[in-house]
Amino acid sequence: MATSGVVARLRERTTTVSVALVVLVHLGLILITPNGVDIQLLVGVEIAVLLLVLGVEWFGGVPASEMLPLAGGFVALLATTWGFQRVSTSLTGASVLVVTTLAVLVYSLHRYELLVLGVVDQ
Amino acid sequence: MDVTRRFWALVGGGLTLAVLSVVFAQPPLLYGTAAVGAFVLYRQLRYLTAVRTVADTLRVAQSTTSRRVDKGGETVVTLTAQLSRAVPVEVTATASLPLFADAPSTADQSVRIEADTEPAETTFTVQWPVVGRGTFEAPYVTIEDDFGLFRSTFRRGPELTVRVEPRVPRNVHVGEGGDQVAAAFGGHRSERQGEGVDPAELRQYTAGDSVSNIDWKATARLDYPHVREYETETDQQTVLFVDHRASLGAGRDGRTKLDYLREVALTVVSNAQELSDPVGVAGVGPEGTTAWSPPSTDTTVYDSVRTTLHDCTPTGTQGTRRDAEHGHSMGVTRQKATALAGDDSAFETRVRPFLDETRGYVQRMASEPLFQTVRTRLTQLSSASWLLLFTDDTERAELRETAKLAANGGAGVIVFLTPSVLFEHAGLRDLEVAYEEYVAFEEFRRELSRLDGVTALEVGPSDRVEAVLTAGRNRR
Repeated sequence: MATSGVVARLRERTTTVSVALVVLVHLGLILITPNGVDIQLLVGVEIAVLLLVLGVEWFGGVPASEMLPLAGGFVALLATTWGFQRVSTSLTGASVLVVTTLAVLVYSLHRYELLVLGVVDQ
Repeated sequence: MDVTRRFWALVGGGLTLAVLSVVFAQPPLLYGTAAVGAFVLYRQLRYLTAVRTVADTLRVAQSTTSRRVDKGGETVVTLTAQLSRAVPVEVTATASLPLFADAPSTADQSVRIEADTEPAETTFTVQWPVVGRGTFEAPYVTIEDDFGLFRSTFRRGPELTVRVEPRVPRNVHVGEGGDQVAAAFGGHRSERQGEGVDPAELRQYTAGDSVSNIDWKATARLDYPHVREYETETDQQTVLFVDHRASLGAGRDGRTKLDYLREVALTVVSNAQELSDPVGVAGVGPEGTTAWSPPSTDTTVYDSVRTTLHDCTPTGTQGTRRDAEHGHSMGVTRQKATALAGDDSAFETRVRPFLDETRGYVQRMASEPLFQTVRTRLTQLSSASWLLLFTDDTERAELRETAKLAANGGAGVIVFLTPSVLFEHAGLRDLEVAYEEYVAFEEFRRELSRLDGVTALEVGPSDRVEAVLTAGRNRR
């Protein structure tokens, strides 16, 4: 019982640790390269971040097959961000697009869940 | 789907990166926002997959020991839930109690569901202090993800309804020897003909009959003048004598002898009110008359009589009053004394003092509460009054003499009797013994009915009457 409680607490913390790592790595990247980040370095850092997050998940006991959506979603969202940055005239516009896209996706999943539970009809 | 503070903390981290990327014009920070977003979406997707599994495989049921319960009673409710596939979330089912139900322990109302072949189960006791229909809505199912980000609550399973009924007698049997009497008590026929609305008979016209009374249709049909007569409208004065001494308190709470008699008495009052007949009531306690309301047709009197009936509660202490010897009438005693006259045997010498006690018997009877009450009130009533006695079979000698007295003083007597055997608190444990006691009661009831102007009816729960009679039939 006590062991399962510790495991549960560790599992809860993997989420916080993963997000904290993502935030810290990106902030650290800016501090290290204040004059702009090379695209190759950025890709390398993002791959490292992805591997780090996957590692934390693996430590949390998640099977490798279930981590595929994480890897896929990570790559897709980073590619979408790159696309928004290319089409947008300003960084503010790109930021608004990225945040809006994420909000719409989160809300869509929430609505789908209500449908699955039969709380709403359509 | 509800989100937790931890979820908002993660979202806050991502948004902070987005804001910083704009403030410091650093596009890499926006990729950080996308990375955080990807991670949050991944967690949400995993949670959603688990929720779908729960929605598809969860079975919840609730049951109760009884769908009908008396006010103040208890029922045991069982909540079962089964999940056939393992999910990475915590699933809990919680019963949803009706507003007016009380449950001493709230912790027992929830069950945590693990994937298993056997359903998870919890039982708890519910108390019902109020009369009504209590509905347990479908139980709440709560899902919480292992990472503390999301929580969902929805209802799953069937509803459950419990009817809470007042503690009053049901299935009231009024009858003779197990046969139900169908008459509406209080209804009456005058047996006299004259002015009225109820047709009584058609007879040939005779000299002296009023021409206006001729029934012309019947005259045409029968080819001779005929007169139709109607039953005369009369008022039947009824007085209820309600015994509420301790022995009338026998039976389960809310279904005592007195409760059954009260139901019958209330029906009589309702019928009397419908027919605008004068009705009065006298309460009989261990010390004598406890309440007296003289017969009247005033509308307030009917309510007053009902209030008196509702106020009657068993009073005094109960002794062992049913005694076969004591139950013999004075007439039987006299017969025995005559039979023993001239006998010089030892038996006669021994028994004689008991048979000579006729004077003591009369004095004893005069002090008995029911006898005393009826005798006192008869002096205030007209001889056309119907007297209804509501009592049990414990004071047989007193009841016999009271019925005789009432029959002499009134137009008629109806005795409503509750057989003690039908009100044993522990139920009818030994049906054979119960049948024998019921037969003894029936003999006593018939003896009362044989008295001039007296009708004796038994009052009790019909299911018990049926059980006792079935036992008797099986024995034969």
